[in-house]
Amino acid sequence: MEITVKAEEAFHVFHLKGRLDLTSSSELKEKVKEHLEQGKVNILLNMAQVDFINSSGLGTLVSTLKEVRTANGRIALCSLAPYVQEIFEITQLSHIFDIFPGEKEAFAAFGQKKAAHTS
Amino acid sequence: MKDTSNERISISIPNRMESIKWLYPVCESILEELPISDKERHMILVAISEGFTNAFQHGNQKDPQTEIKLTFYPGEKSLKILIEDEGILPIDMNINNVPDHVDLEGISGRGLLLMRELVDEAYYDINSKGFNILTLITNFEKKYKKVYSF
Repeated sequence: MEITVKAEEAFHVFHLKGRLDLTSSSELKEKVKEHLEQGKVNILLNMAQVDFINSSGLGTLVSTLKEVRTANGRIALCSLAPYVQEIFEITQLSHIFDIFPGEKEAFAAFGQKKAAHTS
Repeated sequence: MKDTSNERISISIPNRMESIKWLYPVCESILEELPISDKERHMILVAISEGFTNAFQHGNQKDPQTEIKLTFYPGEKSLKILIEDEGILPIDMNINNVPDHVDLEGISGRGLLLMRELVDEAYYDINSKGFNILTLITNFEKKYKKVYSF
Protein backbone atom coordinates (compact mmCIF):
# COMPACT_ATOMS: atom_id res chain seq x y z
CA MET A 1 0.00 0.00 0.00
CA GLU A 2 1.19 3.49 -0.81
CA ILE A 3 0.47 6.23 1.69
CA THR A 4 1.10 9.90 1.04
CA VAL A 5 0.16 12.59 3.53
CA LYS A 6 -0.67 16.24 2.88
CA ALA A 7 -1.64 18.95 5.35
CA GLU A 8 -4.91 20.47 4.16
CA GLU A 9 -7.09 22.87 6.13
CA ALA A 10 -7.81 21.34 9.54
CA PHE A 11 -6.72 17.85 8.52
CA HIS A 12 -3.75 15.79 7.60
CA VAL A 13 -5.05 13.96 4.59
CA PHE A 14 -3.77 10.42 4.11
CA HIS A 15 -4.06 9.32 0.49
CA LEU A 16 -4.16 5.53 0.52
CA LYS A 17 -3.50 3.49 -2.59
CA GLY A 18 -3.84 -0.27 -3.03
CA ARG A 19 -5.28 -3.03 -0.89
CA LEU A 20 -6.03 -2.58 2.79
CA ASP A 21 -5.57 -6.05 4.24
CA LEU A 22 -3.40 -8.01 6.62
CA THR A 23 -0.18 -7.18 4.76
CA SER A 24 -0.72 -3.42 4.59
CA SER A 25 -2.37 -2.75 7.93
CA SER A 26 0.80 -2.26 9.96
CA GLU A 27 2.03 0.38 7.52
CA LEU A 28 -1.06 2.51 8.05
CA LYS A 29 -0.96 2.01 11.83
CA GLU A 30 2.67 3.19 11.95
CA LYS A 31 2.00 6.25 9.83
CA VAL A 32 -0.97 7.29 11.97
CA LYS A 33 1.00 6.68 15.16
CA GLU A 34 3.82 8.95 13.91
CA HIS A 35 1.34 11.75 13.26
CA LEU A 36 -0.43 11.40 16.58
CA GLU A 37 2.91 11.54 18.41
CA GLN A 38 3.61 14.84 16.65
CA GLY A 39 0.27 16.23 17.78
CA LYS A 40 -1.29 15.97 14.31
CA VAL A 41 -4.52 14.48 15.53
CA ASN A 42 -7.08 15.40 12.86
CA ILE A 43 -6.90 12.83 10.11
CA LEU A 44 -8.82 12.38 6.90
CA LEU A 45 -8.31 9.09 5.09
CA ASN A 46 -8.88 9.57 1.39
CA MET A 47 -9.67 6.07 0.13
CA ALA A 48 -10.35 6.87 -3.52
CA GLN A 49 -7.56 4.53 -4.59
CA VAL A 50 -8.24 1.72 -2.14
CA ASP A 51 -9.65 -0.93 -4.42
CA PHE A 52 -9.94 -3.71 -1.84
CA ILE A 53 -10.57 -3.99 1.87
CA ASN A 54 -11.20 -6.98 4.09
CA SER A 55 -11.75 -7.54 7.81
CA SER A 56 -8.06 -7.05 8.59
CA GLY A 57 -8.17 -3.63 6.95
CA LEU A 58 -11.42 -2.78 8.72
CA GLY A 59 -9.89 -3.81 12.04
CA THR A 60 -6.99 -1.45 11.39
CA LEU A 61 -9.36 1.42 10.69
CA VAL A 62 -11.30 0.76 13.91
CA SER A 63 -8.05 0.59 15.85
CA THR A 64 -6.99 3.89 14.24
CA LEU A 65 -10.34 5.46 15.13
CA LYS A 66 -9.81 4.55 18.79
CA GLU A 67 -6.26 5.88 18.85
CA VAL A 68 -7.30 9.17 17.31
CA ARG A 69 -10.14 9.52 19.82
CA THR A 70 -7.72 8.81 22.68
CA ALA A 71 -5.54 11.62 21.35
CA ASN A 72 -8.61 13.90 21.34
CA GLY A 73 -8.48 14.13 17.58
CA ARG A 74 -10.93 13.56 14.78
CA ILE A 75 -10.88 11.04 11.98
CA ALA A 76 -13.00 10.82 8.85
CA LEU A 77 -13.01 8.82 5.64
CA CYS A 78 -13.80 10.04 2.16
CA SER A 79 -14.10 8.98 -1.47
CA LEU A 80 -14.78 5.29 -0.87
CA ALA A 81 -15.03 3.13 -3.98
CA PRO A 82 -18.50 1.51 -4.32
CA TYR A 83 -17.38 -2.03 -3.43
CA VAL A 84 -15.41 -0.77 -0.46
CA GLN A 85 -18.41 1.27 0.66
CA GLU A 86 -20.51 -1.89 0.46
CA ILE A 87 -18.15 -3.75 2.80
CA PHE A 88 -18.64 -0.90 5.27
CA GLU A 89 -22.41 -1.29 4.95
CA ILE A 90 -22.35 -5.05 5.47
CA THR A 91 -20.22 -4.75 8.59
CA GLN A 92 -22.20 -1.68 9.71
CA LEU A 93 -18.99 0.29 10.17
CA SER A 94 -20.63 3.10 8.27
CA HIS A 95 -22.41 3.77 11.59
CA ILE A 96 -19.26 4.58 13.53
CA PHE A 97 -17.16 6.38 10.92
CA ASP A 98 -17.79 9.81 9.48
CA ILE A 99 -17.76 9.06 5.76
CA PHE A 100 -17.91 11.80 3.13
CA PRO A 101 -18.20 11.72 -0.66
CA GLY A 102 -15.02 13.79 -1.06
CA GLU A 103 -12.42 15.90 0.73
CA LYS A 104 -14.34 19.10 0.18
CA GLU A 105 -17.40 17.76 2.00
CA ALA A 106 -15.25 16.49 4.87
CA PHE A 107 -13.53 19.86 5.27
CA ALA A 108 -16.88 21.62 5.21
CA ALA A 109 -18.47 19.30 7.77
CA PHE A 110 -15.56 19.45 10.16
CA GLY A 111 -15.16 23.17 9.69
CA GLN A 112 -18.75 23.58 10.78
CA LYS A 113 -18.28 21.31 13.79
CA LYS A 114 -15.14 23.20 14.77
CA ALA A 115 -16.97 26.52 14.51
CA ALA A 116 -19.84 25.14 16.58
CA HIS A 117 -17.41 23.97 19.26
CA THR A 118 -15.63 27.31 19.48
CA SER A 119 -18.72 29.54 19.43
CA MET B 1 -26.84 -27.43 -5.71
CA LYS B 2 -24.94 -30.23 -7.46
CA ASP B 3 -22.90 -29.00 -10.38
CA THR B 4 -21.66 -31.35 -13.07
CA SER B 5 -18.19 -30.05 -13.92
CA ASN B 6 -15.18 -32.14 -12.97
CA GLU B 7 -12.71 -29.35 -13.65
CA ARG B 8 -10.46 -28.52 -10.72
CA ILE B 9 -7.67 -26.00 -10.16
CA SER B 10 -5.46 -26.37 -7.10
CA ILE B 11 -2.70 -24.18 -5.74
CA SER B 12 -0.64 -24.35 -2.58
CA ILE B 13 0.73 -21.18 -1.05
CA PRO B 14 3.41 -21.10 1.67
CA ASN B 15 2.05 -19.83 4.99
CA ARG B 16 4.08 -16.63 4.97
CA MET B 17 2.96 -13.02 5.11
CA GLU B 18 4.84 -12.15 1.94
CA SER B 19 3.16 -15.00 0.07
CA ILE B 20 -0.26 -13.42 0.44
CA LYS B 21 0.61 -11.23 -2.55
CA TRP B 22 0.26 -14.32 -4.76
CA LEU B 23 -3.27 -14.95 -3.60
CA TYR B 24 -4.91 -12.06 -5.42
CA PRO B 25 -3.55 -12.40 -8.97
CA VAL B 26 -4.07 -16.16 -8.98
CA CYS B 27 -7.65 -15.91 -7.73
CA GLU B 28 -8.44 -12.97 -10.00
CA SER B 29 -7.27 -14.85 -13.07
CA ILE B 30 -9.53 -17.78 -12.22
CA LEU B 31 -12.53 -15.62 -11.34
CA GLU B 32 -12.18 -13.64 -14.57
CA GLU B 33 -13.09 -16.75 -16.54
CA LEU B 34 -16.44 -17.16 -14.78
CA PRO B 35 -19.83 -15.73 -15.84
CA ILE B 36 -20.13 -13.36 -12.92
CA SER B 37 -20.25 -9.60 -12.56
CA ASP B 38 -17.33 -7.44 -11.45
CA LYS B 39 -19.10 -6.92 -8.16
CA GLU B 40 -19.54 -10.67 -7.52
CA ARG B 41 -15.92 -11.25 -8.50
CA HIS B 42 -14.84 -8.63 -6.01
CA MET B 43 -17.01 -10.00 -3.21
CA ILE B 44 -15.85 -13.59 -3.78
CA LEU B 45 -12.26 -12.35 -3.62
CA VAL B 46 -12.99 -10.71 -0.27
CA ALA B 47 -14.50 -13.99 1.01
CA ILE B 48 -11.42 -15.92 -0.19
CA SER B 49 -9.11 -13.43 1.50
CA GLU B 50 -11.03 -13.89 4.76
CA GLY B 51 -10.70 -17.67 4.56
CA PHE B 52 -7.03 -17.36 3.64
CA THR B 53 -6.35 -14.95 6.52
CA ASN B 54 -8.03 -17.32 8.99
CA ALA B 55 -5.96 -20.20 7.64
CA PHE B 56 -2.76 -18.15 7.91
CA GLN B 57 -3.36 -16.73 11.38
CA HIS B 58 -5.59 -19.18 13.22
CA GLY B 59 -5.28 -22.51 11.42
CA ASN B 60 -1.57 -22.51 10.64
CA GLN B 61 -0.78 -20.10 13.49
CA LYS B 62 1.57 -18.12 11.18
CA ASP B 63 3.89 -21.16 10.99
CA PRO B 64 6.04 -20.64 7.84
CA GLN B 65 6.63 -24.38 7.55
CA THR B 66 2.98 -24.97 6.70
CA GLU B 67 0.96 -24.37 3.55
CA ILE B 68 -2.49 -23.26 2.55
CA LYS B 69 -4.13 -25.16 -0.27
CA LEU B 70 -6.85 -23.61 -2.40
CA THR B 71 -8.94 -25.71 -4.76
CA PHE B 72 -11.39 -24.17 -7.22
CA TYR B 73 -14.22 -26.19 -8.77
CA PRO B 74 -15.72 -23.96 -11.46
CA GLY B 75 -19.03 -25.44 -12.58
CA GLU B 76 -21.64 -24.26 -15.03
CA LYS B 77 -23.89 -22.86 -12.36
CA SER B 78 -21.67 -22.37 -9.40
CA LEU B 79 -18.15 -22.05 -8.08
CA LYS B 80 -16.94 -24.09 -5.13
CA ILE B 81 -13.71 -23.12 -3.39
CA LEU B 82 -11.95 -25.17 -0.73
CA ILE B 83 -9.34 -23.59 1.54
CA GLU B 84 -7.34 -26.07 3.59
CA ASP B 85 -4.71 -25.43 6.23
CA GLU B 86 -2.74 -27.63 8.60
CA GLY B 87 -4.34 -26.75 11.90
CA ILE B 88 -7.50 -26.81 13.93
CA LEU B 89 -9.50 -23.63 14.38
CA PRO B 90 -10.81 -22.53 17.77
CA ILE B 91 -14.23 -24.08 18.38
CA ASP B 92 -15.96 -20.69 18.45
CA MET B 93 -15.01 -20.01 14.83
CA ASN B 94 -18.29 -21.30 13.50
CA ILE B 95 -19.70 -19.28 10.64
CA ASN B 96 -23.25 -20.30 11.52
CA ASN B 97 -22.94 -18.83 14.99
CA VAL B 98 -21.88 -15.37 13.86
CA PRO B 99 -24.41 -12.84 15.14
CA ASP B 100 -25.85 -10.32 12.70
CA HIS B 101 -24.61 -7.49 14.85
CA VAL B 102 -20.93 -7.76 15.70
CA ASP B 103 -19.27 -5.44 18.17
CA LEU B 104 -18.97 -2.33 16.02
CA GLU B 105 -15.87 -1.09 17.79
CA GLY B 106 -14.19 -4.47 18.08
CA ILE B 107 -10.86 -4.80 16.28
CA SER B 108 -11.65 -8.31 14.99
CA GLY B 109 -14.64 -10.58 14.41
CA ARG B 110 -15.78 -9.42 10.98
CA GLY B 111 -14.15 -12.07 8.80
CA LEU B 112 -16.70 -14.81 9.44
CA LEU B 113 -19.54 -12.32 9.00
CA LEU B 114 -18.18 -11.22 5.63
CA MET B 115 -17.77 -14.80 4.41
CA ARG B 116 -21.32 -15.60 5.44
CA GLU B 117 -22.70 -12.54 3.68
CA LEU B 118 -20.63 -12.54 0.51
CA VAL B 119 -21.10 -16.11 -0.73
CA ASP B 120 -24.11 -18.45 -0.77
CA GLU B 121 -22.59 -21.10 1.45
CA ALA B 122 -19.62 -20.93 3.80
CA TYR B 123 -18.73 -23.55 6.36
CA TYR B 124 -15.76 -25.11 8.12
CA ASP B 125 -15.22 -28.84 8.37
CA ILE B 126 -12.39 -31.26 9.04
CA ASN B 127 -10.56 -32.81 6.06
CA SER B 128 -9.27 -36.39 5.76
CA LYS B 129 -6.06 -35.39 7.56
CA GLY B 130 -7.99 -33.98 10.52
CA PHE B 131 -7.30 -30.36 9.63
CA ASN B 132 -9.48 -27.39 8.73
CA ILE B 133 -11.23 -27.21 5.42
CA LEU B 134 -13.32 -24.20 4.51
CA THR B 135 -15.92 -24.51 1.75
CA LEU B 136 -17.17 -21.42 -0.06
CA ILE B 137 -19.89 -21.79 -2.69
CA THR B 138 -21.23 -19.09 -4.98
CA ASN B 139 -24.18 -19.70 -7.28
CA PHE B 140 -23.79 -17.65 -10.44
CA GLU B 141 -27.42 -16.59 -10.60
CA LYS B 142 -27.73 -15.83 -6.94
CA LYS B 143 -28.86 -12.57 -5.57
CA TYR B 144 -27.23 -11.10 -2.53
CA LYS B 145 -28.91 -12.18 0.67
CA LYS B 146 -29.43 -8.61 1.70
CA VAL B 147 -29.75 -5.47 -0.30
CA TYR B 148 -27.16 -2.92 0.69
CA SER B 149 -27.60 0.61 -0.44
CA PHE B 150 -24.67 2.91 -1.04
